[in-house]
Amino acid sequence: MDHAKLERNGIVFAMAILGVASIGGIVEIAPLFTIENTVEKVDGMRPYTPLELAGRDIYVREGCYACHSQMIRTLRSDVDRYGHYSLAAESMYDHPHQWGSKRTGPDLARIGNKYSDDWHVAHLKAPRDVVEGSVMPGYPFLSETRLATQHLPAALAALARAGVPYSQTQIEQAENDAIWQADIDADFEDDLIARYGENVQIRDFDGNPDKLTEMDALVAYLQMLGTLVDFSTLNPEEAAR
Amino acid sequence: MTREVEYTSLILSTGALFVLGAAILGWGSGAYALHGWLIALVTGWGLFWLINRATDPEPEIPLEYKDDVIKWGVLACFFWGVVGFTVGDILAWQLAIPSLNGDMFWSNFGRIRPIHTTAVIFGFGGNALIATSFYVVQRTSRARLASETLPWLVLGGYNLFVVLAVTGYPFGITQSKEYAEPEWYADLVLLVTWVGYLFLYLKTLARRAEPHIYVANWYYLAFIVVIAMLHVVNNLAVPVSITGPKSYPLFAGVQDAMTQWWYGHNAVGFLLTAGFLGMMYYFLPKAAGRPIYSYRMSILGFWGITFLYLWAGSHHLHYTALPDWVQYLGMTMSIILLVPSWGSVFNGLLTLNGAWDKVRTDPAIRFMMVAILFYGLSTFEGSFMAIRPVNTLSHYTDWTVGHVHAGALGWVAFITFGAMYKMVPWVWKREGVYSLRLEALHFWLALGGTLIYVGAMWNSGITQSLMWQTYEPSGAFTYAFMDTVDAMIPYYWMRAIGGLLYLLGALIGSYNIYMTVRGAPRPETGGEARPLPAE
Amino acid sequence: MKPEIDPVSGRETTGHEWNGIKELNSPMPKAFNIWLWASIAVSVLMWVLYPSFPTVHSFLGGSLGYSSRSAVNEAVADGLRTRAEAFSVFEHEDIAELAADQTLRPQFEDQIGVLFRDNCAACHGRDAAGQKGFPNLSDNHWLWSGTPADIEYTLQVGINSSNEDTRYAEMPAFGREEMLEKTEISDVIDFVLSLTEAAHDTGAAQRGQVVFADNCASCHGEDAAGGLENGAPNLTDDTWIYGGTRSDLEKTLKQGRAGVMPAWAGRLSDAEIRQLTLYVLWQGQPDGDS
Repeated sequence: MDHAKLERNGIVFAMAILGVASIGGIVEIAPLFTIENTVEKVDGMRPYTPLELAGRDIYVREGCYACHSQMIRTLRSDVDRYGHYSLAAESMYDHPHQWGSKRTGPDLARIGNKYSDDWHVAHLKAPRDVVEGSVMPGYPFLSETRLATQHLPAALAALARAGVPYSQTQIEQAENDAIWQADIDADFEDDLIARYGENVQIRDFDGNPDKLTEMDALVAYLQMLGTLVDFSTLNPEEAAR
Repeated sequence: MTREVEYTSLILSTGALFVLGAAILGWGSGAYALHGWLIALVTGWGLFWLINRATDPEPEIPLEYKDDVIKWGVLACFFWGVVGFTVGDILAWQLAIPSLNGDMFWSNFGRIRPIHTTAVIFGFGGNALIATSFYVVQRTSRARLASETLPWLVLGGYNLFVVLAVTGYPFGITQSKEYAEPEWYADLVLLVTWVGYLFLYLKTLARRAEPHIYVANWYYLAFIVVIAMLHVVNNLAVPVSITGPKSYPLFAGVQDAMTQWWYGHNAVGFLLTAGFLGMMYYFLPKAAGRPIYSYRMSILGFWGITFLYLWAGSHHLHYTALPDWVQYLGMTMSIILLVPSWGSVFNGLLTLNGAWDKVRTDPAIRFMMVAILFYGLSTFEGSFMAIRPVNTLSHYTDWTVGHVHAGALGWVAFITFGAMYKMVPWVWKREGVYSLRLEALHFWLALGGTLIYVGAMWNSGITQSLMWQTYEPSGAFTYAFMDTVDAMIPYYWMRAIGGLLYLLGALIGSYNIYMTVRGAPRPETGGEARPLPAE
Repeated sequence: MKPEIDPVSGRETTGHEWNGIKELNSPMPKAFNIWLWASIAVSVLMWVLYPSFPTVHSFLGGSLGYSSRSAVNEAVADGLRTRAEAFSVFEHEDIAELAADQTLRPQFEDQIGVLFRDNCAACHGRDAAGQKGFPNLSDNHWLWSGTPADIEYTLQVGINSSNEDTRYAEMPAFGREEMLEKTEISDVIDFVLSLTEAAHDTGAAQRGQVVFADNCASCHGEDAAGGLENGAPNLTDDTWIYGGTRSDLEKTLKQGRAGVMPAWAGRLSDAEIRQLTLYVLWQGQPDGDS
């Protein structure tokens, strides 16, 4: 039997394992980069603003994915409860994706603008006081922690290397842009909008205009989730894939 | 390979990690800098030890199996097991009584959960596999491990990786990629270690005196090779700078999701399945004193799993923004995958033909037999859940959690406990386990705990998904999301209690192992199995 | 080594041995072969029917032309039709007439309650009784009038929301913006406390009344009873959004308030917004246990 030959040589056996095991990944992953309609063509997607990115980094750091999905599936009960099914385009700048694998809490793919900033702040500080029956941990420290911004230019540059289309100006101005987005008194609205488009929410998010906190960043991120894509530009036939 | 080449390459790779650690401690701050110190100290010590040994005269290598390193692997396995089970049960209680989160930055569910998963998968499971693979490859090859130094570096480097991982999470050092949370520098430590592991394994196999490689080694080899591939591809990332731990994964969105679950599902397939099948294929026939039921079934099982598992990851992404074609490929391959999986189940169970009486009398064999049953149950369940309509009932719910734990508690940990109760007295040269009664008590606590846990999660998962999907005849939802959270609370309590029983069993098991190790050595008979002398 | 016969099973071994472990050369059970090929056959059938293998730029679409996204679009549209029929009464655009219809509450309250708990309860509570920062909807104290049409409009456009037609109301930050002296703030707090006969300093309250008339009455009214046309709360009814203690009031006067109610147009349908409007009204009406 041929298998007996394989059993006689460890290196050949290891190569055989590698060859057989790599087929599945090659067939299922590589075409996702080459088949064009994998990521839908829709208007509205833009890279995260530096403040939103900082908020997303906090979301990632806290492991929110362990209880919250960001993926509205193509199921009637998902769409009825959370809104339009999620597009691949909506996470095209997500390094890493945060689709999640568990919904101990509700899906967050379209949480943006569903509740007020005040609610998010109060809820993140003490979720079980705000929502009866909640099992969510509290994050009171976010309001007290000053947001670190000095690394943001390097963060945008790293993402640019991974393929996110950040311009040189966006990278250079990342720290200022983060500070300005949460500052109601700053007069740089036009600069921000010039760099990131009309669809940027500029205000003090955490109810404390004197200090740029991690709460500002996280709420800014949550408030933009699901708000970017203009679904009127989605061609349902091309999206059916 | 000459001694000079071996030592040069070991010193160079350890030195590279030392430089990494030095750079991190120099440029970094906070927990990240502490990680730099840890890497630098451990690898610096390793370098010192290597150079010392390299300059010593070549020692006489005894004609016996190299088991000292295995002993440390066993201890690491039990240490991480107790850590992982404890943290897991704390998490379970946090869901039942949310105020237990403490609401401090380091104590919340999101930061602690990866400590649990990493400690049990990589700490407990990984050390169990390294230790038993070192044991098995020597016995089935009748050869001593192919290096006197490399086994220590593999075990040390691996545990350095686990320590870096679990101590980073409370400080927010994570990629939030499930089961691949550690950041780039910890990934590099694992990568270097893993290359060493593969090299050591192949080189030991090459020394074997038996003409054929035994099936247990096929599985251990698949575990090492495939985990290497998965680890590299899924952890491709762009670090932000040397001054901080943060990196951004190279892939985004749908491609990242597919890569992640290709990884995630096969961490299950090749760490938690293939590796432990290797364990089963040695310790079960050895303990039962029976031949493997069918060599042909071994071949089908092995190659079926090695080929099919890698296609199945997309069933974690049913109905998502992943294109349909990938979902259907994942679903169909998962259905076929059940056949080789159950091939291993039958091969294991039928190996007990002629030794069924030992299931009653020997708790270690009972552990292994129940492990195989749980393996059969969870692979059936897994293929079932991969069917798209079924998946609408399981995905995003506790059913998934229950499924994973049927596999992890019932299969992975049971086969490990069974194997350890056999291997520990063999390695430490003891008459037997300290107490068979405690071993049996451990078995019943573990079985009770698992059944309560899994039963609770089946109920909560299916209850929740049905509540999510229930409509009134009018087309309005019957339940709000909050209502479904309310409904989970009794099951969270049950799960926490089941987990506590399991933890209790593991503590008793650890005590039993500890007392076995402390016990009196068996008198030498002169008939111990030894490697054959090298030609 | 030569193959030998295992005495228990009577089967032949492969002739190999590893540290005492042997293996039998048992053939694959027939059932296994059948099962394997059946699984493969089912899979091949699925590959033919449904989307499956990729090429470089495309993939096999499957003979059924199935797509999850088309399927869910249809299922959701079906559901919408069912709901439109069952809730057809809410297509009626005159919300006042709907509010007057006594038959709706027993029929729809429970079902609309689910919609309320999924969308509104996070802020206003499961019982609609509100909490600090988020108004009680069941007490018949209103910021923007309690007529059905006004509630419906608030739900549509929100308050201080991102909707372009949003209702807008802001309590200025009298302290932070230095519009009032510290003593003036303290005095006006005593005046406000006096309105509900809470503990206060009478002298300070008298001074505060002057401050109130100059600075606050334009929104809250000469009588401090609020203004439903501008969303300024009634300060005499002992119903507080942000709390009525001295320290609460200090905070309000110091940093100002501009509570946000999100706009629900776009997220919810017009009919759903009408349902929630009625639900909110019902919570303030007797026989709540219908």
